[in-house]
Amino acid sequence: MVRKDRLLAMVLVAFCVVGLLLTRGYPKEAAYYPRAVFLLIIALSIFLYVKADPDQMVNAKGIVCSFFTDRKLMSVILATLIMIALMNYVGLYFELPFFIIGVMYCIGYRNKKTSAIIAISLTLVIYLLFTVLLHIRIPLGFWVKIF
Amino acid sequence: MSAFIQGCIMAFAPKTLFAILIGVMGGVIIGALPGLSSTLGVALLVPFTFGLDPVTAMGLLGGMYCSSIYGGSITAILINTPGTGAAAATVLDGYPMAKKGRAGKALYVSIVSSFIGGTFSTLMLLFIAPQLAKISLFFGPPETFMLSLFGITIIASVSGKDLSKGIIAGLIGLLLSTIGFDATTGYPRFTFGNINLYEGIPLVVAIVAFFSIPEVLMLVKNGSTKTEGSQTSGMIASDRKANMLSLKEVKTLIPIWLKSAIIGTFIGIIPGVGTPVACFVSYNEAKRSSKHPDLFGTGIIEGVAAPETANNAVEGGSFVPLLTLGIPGSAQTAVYLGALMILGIKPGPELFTRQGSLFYAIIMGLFIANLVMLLLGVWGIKYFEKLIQLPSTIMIPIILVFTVVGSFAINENVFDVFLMLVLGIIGYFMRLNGLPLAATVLAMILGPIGEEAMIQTISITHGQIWQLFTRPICLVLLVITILSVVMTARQHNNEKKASHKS
Repeated sequence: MVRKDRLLAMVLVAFCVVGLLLTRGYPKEAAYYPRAVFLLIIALSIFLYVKADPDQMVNAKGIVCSFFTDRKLMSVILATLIMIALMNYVGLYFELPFFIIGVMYCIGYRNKKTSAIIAISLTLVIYLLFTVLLHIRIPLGFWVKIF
Repeated sequence: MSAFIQGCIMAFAPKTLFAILIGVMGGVIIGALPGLSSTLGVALLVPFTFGLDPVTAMGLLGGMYCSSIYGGSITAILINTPGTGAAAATVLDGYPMAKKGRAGKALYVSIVSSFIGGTFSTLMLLFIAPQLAKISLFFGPPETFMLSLFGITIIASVSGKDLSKGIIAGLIGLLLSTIGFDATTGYPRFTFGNINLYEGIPLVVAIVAFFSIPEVLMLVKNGSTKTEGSQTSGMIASDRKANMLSLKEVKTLIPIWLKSAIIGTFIGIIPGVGTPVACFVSYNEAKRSSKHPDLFGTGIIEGVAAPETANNAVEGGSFVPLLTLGIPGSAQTAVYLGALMILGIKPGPELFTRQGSLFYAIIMGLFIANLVMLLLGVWGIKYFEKLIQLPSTIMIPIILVFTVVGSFAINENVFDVFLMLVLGIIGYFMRLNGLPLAATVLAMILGPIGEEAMIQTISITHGQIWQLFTRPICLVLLVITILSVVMTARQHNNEKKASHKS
């Protein structure tokens, strides 16, 4: 167990050290500004470490585990990640209804009829807004080659 | 005068009116749903502004901004949960009124007061902003540098309970703004050889990522599937006349509306003070000057009118420093500033001289937005019960889809969407650890402006930066900056002492 703010301070210091190492190869003028900011964060992290509230204790391992084992959270993130990764190949309008129904199912919505209606109508709204109104070139995936 | 007429014509164009209507409708929904902030509403709309002309885009955002503040009062009155921070004081009398079966009346007072506050402050914006902009004509790079420094100190005041965490969040924002080509040497910083990062992190991607994704993930984590709307179902009188204000009630409310509108506008002009402060100050003032202060908190219309007038008055006030000096005083106006910059609108004197018609169109857009909000609010009173029963399981995928498609639309680049998700997850962890994301976004906006002005200042003064303090505006700004930091630090200390005592 460790004080919550101390854990945050340690993570921030580690992040800044990596950042400072990255600036080693930069020209002096380009490195000056980010280095100053990294050093300021380190200074404030030390302050944060010292004044950390002893009443707020956390388990570092527990925080990481609770994030990765939170089924709902992970499934929403993974579903979004998969949708983004497949966007160019499958096409956004094809994958959107599946994504919406999938996310709704993952977070506990079980009404199939409403899910389908929302999925289709939202995809239609997105099409009308972005393709028809704003002329954004939304990825259509392999469907372009077929049709 | 011609600029004013031209601005009016632009604001009354059918597509602008349609955009305002959409913005207002979206704002009421976002504001009314607990857990969704008005900042999220404005952030979600930013990607939509790309294909629009500046006036339509500003109408859309203005409509969303003012109505989402009002929307927060709906849940405050009906389910004792302020939809936004701005409605925190409305709970005090709004919910007791609902419990007495007068929810419809409370909602009616709320919408009328919001309209009065918003309209009054927009009127003030119309008169004050051009005068203040004249001062900004004397601004050169040193003054801009000092101004951005002052802007960054506002981070301290939006940093919540912990000042040091607020500053750290701001510094993280400054770091994120360094990603991409360095302005002086052209060297790519923190790009890891990825050409998508050479131009830096797109501001809209950051805005959407930091305001939408953490909010969605928090909703998923907290797992609430249904709001508590059922608790007050049937509390809104079906008879429309029963909800309306009588002449006697209007007479009682006029001084409260006027005082609260002035308080709200004044507090709105001061960057970083925030809407909740304006609401509580107005509420206290209404209570102090009332003939029956003991009735406040038991469910009286004065207790709803004061905070609701003030919170919408803040909106017009906060546009004064934003449009004249480019200083956002809150998270919402920070997002709004980001949108202005993306649309190529530079706040400051040029907005009033070279783009006068645009300035007046924005102002007229705000007037129209307030009017649309009033009409929609009065019409929608009987439907609000149903709106707040919308489960988060439906809202989450809707927000996610708009977030993903919106961040793709900026550069039509899938990498931006990945970046948005990664930044959003980082933002989620930052939020869990009490690092205020508004500070990060504010620093991301002001950081590059400050860095550029600093380089120009060093060049102008040949490295003798102390010459800054020989310029009167710089000196005034320096004093304001120091005062801002000292006062915020004192406020944080007092709050800490008070919480320790309790």
